[in-house]
Amino acid sequence: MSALARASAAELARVLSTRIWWILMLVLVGYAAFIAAILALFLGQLGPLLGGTADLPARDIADLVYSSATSVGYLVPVLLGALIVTSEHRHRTLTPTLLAEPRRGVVVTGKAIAGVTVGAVTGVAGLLASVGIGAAVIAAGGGDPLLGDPETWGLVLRAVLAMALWGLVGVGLGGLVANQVVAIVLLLVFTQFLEPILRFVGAIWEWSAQVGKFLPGAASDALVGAGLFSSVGALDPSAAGMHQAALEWWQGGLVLGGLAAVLIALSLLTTWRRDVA
Amino acid sequence: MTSVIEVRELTKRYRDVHAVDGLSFAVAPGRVTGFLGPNGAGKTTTLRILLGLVAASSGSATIGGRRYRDLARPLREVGASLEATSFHPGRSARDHLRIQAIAGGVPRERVAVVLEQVGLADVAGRRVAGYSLGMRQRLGLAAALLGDPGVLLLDEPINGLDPEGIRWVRSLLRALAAEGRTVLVSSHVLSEVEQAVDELVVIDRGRSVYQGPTSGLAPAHPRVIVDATDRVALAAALAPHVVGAADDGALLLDGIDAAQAGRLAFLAGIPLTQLGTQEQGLEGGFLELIRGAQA
Repeated sequence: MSALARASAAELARVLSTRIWWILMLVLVGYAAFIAAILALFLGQLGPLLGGTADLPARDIADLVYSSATSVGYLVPVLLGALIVTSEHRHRTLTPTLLAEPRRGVVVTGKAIAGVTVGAVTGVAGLLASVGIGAAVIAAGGGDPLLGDPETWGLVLRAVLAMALWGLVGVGLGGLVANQVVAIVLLLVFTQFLEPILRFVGAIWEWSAQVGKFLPGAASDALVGAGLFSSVGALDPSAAGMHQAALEWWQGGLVLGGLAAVLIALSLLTTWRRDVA
Repeated sequence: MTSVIEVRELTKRYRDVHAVDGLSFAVAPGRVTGFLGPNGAGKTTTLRILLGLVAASSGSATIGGRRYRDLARPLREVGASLEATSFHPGRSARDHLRIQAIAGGVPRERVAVVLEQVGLADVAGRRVAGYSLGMRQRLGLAAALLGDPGVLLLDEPINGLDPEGIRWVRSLLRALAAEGRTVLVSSHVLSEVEQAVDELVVIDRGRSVYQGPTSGLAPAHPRVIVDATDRVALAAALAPHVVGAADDGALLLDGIDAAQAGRLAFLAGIPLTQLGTQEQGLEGGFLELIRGAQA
């Protein structure tokens, strides 16, 4: 095995040997299934009975329901990616890691590969939940879950890619911040509070919508092709006057990948060069 | 495979403090070398520089002529145990070693072998969070031995061990050196390792103060122990030589022999109740070296 293969395999073994991985995976699967079921119920044929919107095209319903794994679940891969690095600082395990592989570039690359892998696996698990439960609920309501439509599987593949990229973003952020508590607080504040506000405010003017589409969450929704936030207009007619702007799916992927690359490069120039005492 | 550890003109500055200051020494295979010095002398910093974890300000630190980071599979050549806290509390000992084996390219069978060797085989599946300090030290040693390396760097491996554990580590160190390995073991208490080490490198405030065989470390000249009913008057009469008190309250003198002390007391008209000498052994010689360096 090459040094990089050894480093990546060791990183994956590190992730799998801790409980937090299984806990976050369960949270993601449960949450994605729950949101997908609620959306499918509300947007589908049962919607009007519950006071919701009717007459949304089946394609839009399927996209929204299936993408709930990414639109609410992307926090899990980015957290896991960050923990891959910050837990080593927190538990002072960077010493044994660097004793086994003293070249820090190899260690960071191994962590990046593990981050992408962990992200992709969370993506597969989250989509199994959102598509599995979502399709069942749509079908139960008499709607068409569009499981035979290639567009559905395109969305699933792009969603797994988005989750993999979020894992990579986490490795970069964790590497840059190093402190576990700070990294978790930063992620929660940004993804749950700051970015939603920015995206909401951004939609007020045309120019700010053009800037807001580059926010990581917006880029992620663009890559997947659907997301709760970018579909506000479709869900709520009163919001229809807001300015919607979105990147192409591949542009969204480039923004997320670029963000990860910048964070990892900055961490290599700063935190990763420090003495390990 | 055996290798010489070589530290040459090594310096590490932290802002205005010299943690290591122009330190040079070599460690040969086939014997146990003690790396001694008080806490904060620079032992751990030196070991971390040798292992590529800390960057030196200047100078070099090599193992078998190469820097640690230039070793292709370092765990197979150098085993190190640095501190008993470097384990993820949620992982078991077996998981920790398994991950190190994967990362270091060490055959997986070695995990069970070293667990058995350090006596952790029965508890290897338990989370490290529940381990005592002594068990963590054993796990640290297991990790150092994992790659069956020719060079061992052990930082305070005896800390936290019970007397039986200390005896076990001493015989382990001897056995490893007898197999031709290079063994460097740090401690801040000479008596802890005295019986196990052949060579000494003593440092203080980042500088070398003694290098050579353990037997060459001169035992401190014996101290004079003296007592009288009127201790205050006695202390006044012998003032410049008093360095402390014995357990029973008698005065300890330095830089003076028993005959001189007796004469001074006689001249001061103080009847002595005790006059003798106290051997200090190697530990005293070690402490004296450090005090001398600090004076």
